[in-house]
Amino acid sequence: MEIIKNLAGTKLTLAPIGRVDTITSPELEAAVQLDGVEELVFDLAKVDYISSAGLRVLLSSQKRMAGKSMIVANACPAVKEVFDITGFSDIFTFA
Amino acid sequence: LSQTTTRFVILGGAGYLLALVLVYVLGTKVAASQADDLLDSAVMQMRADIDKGPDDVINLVGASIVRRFNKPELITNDDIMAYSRMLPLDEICVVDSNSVFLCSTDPSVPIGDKFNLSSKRRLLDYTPLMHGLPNLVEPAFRISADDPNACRKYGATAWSENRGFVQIGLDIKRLGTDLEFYYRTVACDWSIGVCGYYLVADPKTGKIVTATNSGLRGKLLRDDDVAPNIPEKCPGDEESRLYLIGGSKCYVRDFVHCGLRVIAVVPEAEVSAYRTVAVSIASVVMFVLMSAFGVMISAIVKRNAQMRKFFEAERAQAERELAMAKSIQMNALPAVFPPYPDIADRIDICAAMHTAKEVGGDFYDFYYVGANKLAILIADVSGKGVPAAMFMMRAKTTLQAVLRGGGEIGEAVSDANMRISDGNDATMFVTAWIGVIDLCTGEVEYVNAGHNPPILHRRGGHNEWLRSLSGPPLAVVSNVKYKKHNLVLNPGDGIFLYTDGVTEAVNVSCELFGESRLFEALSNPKDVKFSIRSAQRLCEDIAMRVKDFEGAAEQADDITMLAFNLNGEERTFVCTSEGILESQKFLEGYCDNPKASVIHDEIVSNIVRCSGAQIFAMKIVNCGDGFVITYTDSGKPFDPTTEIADPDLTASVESRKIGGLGMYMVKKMSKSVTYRRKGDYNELSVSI
Repeated sequence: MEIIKNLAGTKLTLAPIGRVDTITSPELEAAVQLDGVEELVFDLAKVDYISSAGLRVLLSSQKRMAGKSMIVANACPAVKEVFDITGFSDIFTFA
Repeated sequence: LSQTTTRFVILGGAGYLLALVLVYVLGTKVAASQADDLLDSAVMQMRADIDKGPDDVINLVGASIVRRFNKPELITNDDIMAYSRMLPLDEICVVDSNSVFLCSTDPSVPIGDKFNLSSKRRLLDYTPLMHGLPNLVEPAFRISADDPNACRKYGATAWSENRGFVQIGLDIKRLGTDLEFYYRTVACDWSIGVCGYYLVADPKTGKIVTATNSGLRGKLLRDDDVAPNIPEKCPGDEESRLYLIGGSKCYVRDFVHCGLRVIAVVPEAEVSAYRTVAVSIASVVMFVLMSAFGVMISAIVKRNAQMRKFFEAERAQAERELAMAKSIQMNALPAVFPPYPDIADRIDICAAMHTAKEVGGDFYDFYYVGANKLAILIADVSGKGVPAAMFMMRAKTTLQAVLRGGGEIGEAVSDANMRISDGNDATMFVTAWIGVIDLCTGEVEYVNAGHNPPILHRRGGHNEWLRSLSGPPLAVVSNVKYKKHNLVLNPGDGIFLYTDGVTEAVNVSCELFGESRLFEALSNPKDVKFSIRSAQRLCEDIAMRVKDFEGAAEQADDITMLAFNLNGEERTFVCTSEGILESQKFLEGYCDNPKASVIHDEIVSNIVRCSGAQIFAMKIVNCGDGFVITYTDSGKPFDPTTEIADPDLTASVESRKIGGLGMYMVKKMSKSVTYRRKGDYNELSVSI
């Protein structure tokens, strides 16, 4: 899976491309390097779908960013549906 | 025809009767005119004889006087008075050689006087008697010179050597009465035809004076055994009439001449013999003719009835045979769907033939031609009826034989073409689209022999025409090399084959259903969701649309189609990341849907992580409106639907857990999830 990383000062933007599932989420998890990062953005514009493995990465990132800012951006309807079903819509901040 | 016959018999009978009546009437007329002719000549003879009657009396009496007395001077007044008393004579005068009256029965005659000019032609007329003429009779009755009330006929007979003569006068009143004796003699010579006869009667009394049958003499005309219906008085004209005389019908001429009523009779039987003969001959001849005609007519009618019976039987037989041909034709086509239950989840095939009234030459077919190699084909034989059906059977079996023989499809079809062309004296041909599908790889090799282009369906809804042609229809040219074409079907792809009965279906406005309507119908199949098209529904849908399009118009041609879809299948994967990736691809081959992918990911990750199995199997079944995906693994018994608790969706971020979330999502996003422990296997079926 390709992940576009963009670290601008203290803002890290991660834009995975394709599916975020059992196979690919370890790659995404590896990409979440939060040293000195104050602001984390998951840009899901290019994500086709996300499974619970992906949700786990997002949840652990949210925990690690406790007190800091984490934003989930550009979720497509299919992804948004997963967030809704699982109740993650209430936990994450969307943009 | 029997009606015609009846009419003919009636007309013939009427004609027969009419002809007989005509012959009868004509015969009657001929008989009447024949009787008329007979009577005419008889009457003429009778009149002449009657006229001659007084002359003979005068001559007879004169001759007898001349014989008796040697010379006139020997006769005394008494002598001539005696003659006139004895015989019906009214006047007798005797004249000597000097033309002097010697004696007379008439007292007014001047005895001793000379016959002279002043005596009113007496001498002038009788002078020849003084010069050798033996006798003479005046041509007609005349008024007497001495008695103006008497109408008499005069004549005279002379003595030889001019010695004088005796003149005799006969009163007209004596005719018919006093001359009866004479007429008896005269009339006895009268003959009328063969059986004709006469009656002579007194015109005043009707008393019969004489007759051919002398027994009737003295009887009255009106006597019952004579002529009871003859009029009392003679009608006085010259018409022939039919009366009953002597008990039989007779033609009668009734006239009065010189004081005699003469009835000339010709029995009708005599003259009508001709009529009887004519009628008899006519009736016999016509009866024979009519009989011959009747026999002929009845023979024709009988033959006609036989022929009709024969033709009806023939037609019934032909219809039976046609129905049988149709049934044989239909039975020759595979009709059980799905045809291969063991791979029903891998291929979806359906075909239909809606036959028109007449037996046609359409057919479809499919069969294995090798391991995992399925041939599908559709064809249309030119023409209709039993010949087309027979040719279809030939084409079908030949194609099956060559295709099952394996080898390159182009060559196989070329071979089949040569075999079908061989001995194709009926110059029939068959268009065909033949494809061989490798069910493992989805590779298709096909040949289009002049057939309508099929429509290729690509997963996701894209349709395209398969317009590649390989050559002319089969049996047109025997040595054609048919070129094969290739394509690859992916799971979810399909091919729709049809015959021109679909595109050339005609509605009441004479419009064709056409390719564009077909393409449109296939691009927007009714009631088919999820872009998955069941072959059966497709065939039903197109058939219904064509039928709706045709409306009241009669179906002209067979409507034949075959739909083939490459469906899901069962595959086995190893429980590794590679296996998971392959299974993802496998799934996406059928349905490219994020929901399905999420569900698949959750289930497969569960199996790989928790079951302890080395491999897992995955079966995708296309249900038309969705899929059923069944996951099977050989791991420890585990029911994820019950043994994994639902997560707490309200917990805080810190206390949130991922465990259980995946199965929860599967339950929420699928239509249903069912778990079964099957022997040593876990089987989880998800309906999407």
